[in-house]
Amino acid sequence: MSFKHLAVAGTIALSGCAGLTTDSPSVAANATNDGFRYYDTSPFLLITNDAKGGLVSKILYLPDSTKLRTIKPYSFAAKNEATLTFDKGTLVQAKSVVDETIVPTAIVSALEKVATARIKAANGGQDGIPSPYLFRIYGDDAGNWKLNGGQALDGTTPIRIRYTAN
Amino acid sequence: MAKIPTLLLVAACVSGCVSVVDVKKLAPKDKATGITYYLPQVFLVVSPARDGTTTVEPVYLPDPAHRYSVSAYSVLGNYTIDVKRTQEGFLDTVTFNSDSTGTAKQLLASGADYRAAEIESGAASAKDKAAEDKAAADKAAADLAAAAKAEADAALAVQVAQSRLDYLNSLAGTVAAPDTLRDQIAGAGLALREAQVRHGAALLAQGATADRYKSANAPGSKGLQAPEPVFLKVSMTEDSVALTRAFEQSNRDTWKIPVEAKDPVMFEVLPREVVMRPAARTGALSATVRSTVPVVGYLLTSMNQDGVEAPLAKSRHPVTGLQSDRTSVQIDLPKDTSAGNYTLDYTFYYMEGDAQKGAQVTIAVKVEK
Repeated sequence: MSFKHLAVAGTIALSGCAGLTTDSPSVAANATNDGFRYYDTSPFLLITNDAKGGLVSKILYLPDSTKLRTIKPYSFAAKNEATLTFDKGTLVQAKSVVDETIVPTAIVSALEKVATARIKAANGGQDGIPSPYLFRIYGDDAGNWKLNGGQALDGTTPIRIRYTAN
Repeated sequence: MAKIPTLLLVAACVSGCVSVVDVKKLAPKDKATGITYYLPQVFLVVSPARDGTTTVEPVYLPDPAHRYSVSAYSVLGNYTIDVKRTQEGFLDTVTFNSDSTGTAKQLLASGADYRAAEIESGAASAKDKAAEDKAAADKAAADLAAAAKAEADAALAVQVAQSRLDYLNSLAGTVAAPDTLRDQIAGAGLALREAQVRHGAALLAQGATADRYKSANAPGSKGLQAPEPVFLKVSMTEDSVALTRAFEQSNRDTWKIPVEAKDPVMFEVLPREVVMRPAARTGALSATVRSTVPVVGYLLTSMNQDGVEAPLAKSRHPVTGLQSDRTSVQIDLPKDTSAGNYTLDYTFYYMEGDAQKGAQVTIAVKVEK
């Protein structure tokens, strides 16, 4: 080994490498992955009643169990100072800002109108409080925003929530 | 080509430091090693109120199907890893420093801190609840004791009044009877009646107090149960979401804040011994009824003279007037009322909440010649 080769090796040793690796493992691959698991968030539309014949809606960003992710700090011959911050199973860093802009406000408003109209048409005339509705908000490959989900069910029957001890 | 691996090997040997974090997925029956954490399972908790409104909140519970353990190691070097979890067992922060002087004991410290926090939190919560329970029990005991004492005092007053009346009656027809015996007997009768009314009110108040605590805390009472919140499990697929009931909605015992006992409604006739002497033209021509609540109206329902119902002719009517304090009612008999023992039956009206209530009051009046 020449002096030139030793110099290159020394340079590598001094610079080293360190950082974070990320992955989106499948269910099968998750068993062998060795990073910190977390979920990405997705937007959902929650619709409840106000006991006055109206409906109330709000957007929830929930940990999406179909979006399992991993992140792992590593260090090889170098310093690595990494801080990962999580909140309810989601990686907070660099996610909160992105999440807020996933669904444009105008689209949210339009989707709310579609969902509440659908619920009003189906509701009425039953005892007990109608259970809430939860819809996943997602975009298809053509760039269209859609809602998919519905009311809480027991089998195929919508759940009614008792509010008295009858 | 063989030169590059050689260079890397040399580089590794020169630096002498490889730090690795390892996170393993644990099967449900796997024994935990290192720091464990969970990914969350999302539920919606729907809490119904009696007015038909609901509060819907997402809650995050540890998902036993997603349990992981964290470990780390370093070859020929130092590192620090600090794993903080939330109370639910989720990851909070992970700080990884591969070039500090810390050691793996940080892992143990994190776990110990977490358990200590859990214990302290649980102890504080139990202490607060015990203090609340004791305060509520003390208040109930004090209220019940006060109601019992008021009833006992009123019962004693009845006994005293009854004894006095019995004694005066026993003097009738004897040489020891004073000239004013009839007046004294009439006065004692009124005093006895007043004591009986007070005792009745005390009994009612005591019963109401006892019922209030009995009903407010009785387990299994249908009226004191409420449906528990509903847990809806959020099950996600890539393009949809479904809510399913996680638990059956059962009824649970509940409790309501006791309503403070109100002062009993009382009507008192003053003076106790209403003796009218029209001829004397004194201030004793009238009687006053005092109430513990504002009076909104009154009605003379009947009048008896010496045990015989007297016609309620306008000319013979007592003049009744509600005073400005609205708790006093002045009753005046006409000056030419003939002598005799009169009984005036009144109904006085007052408000209890939005409802109008009536109280029957009998006034005995002796008009002397």
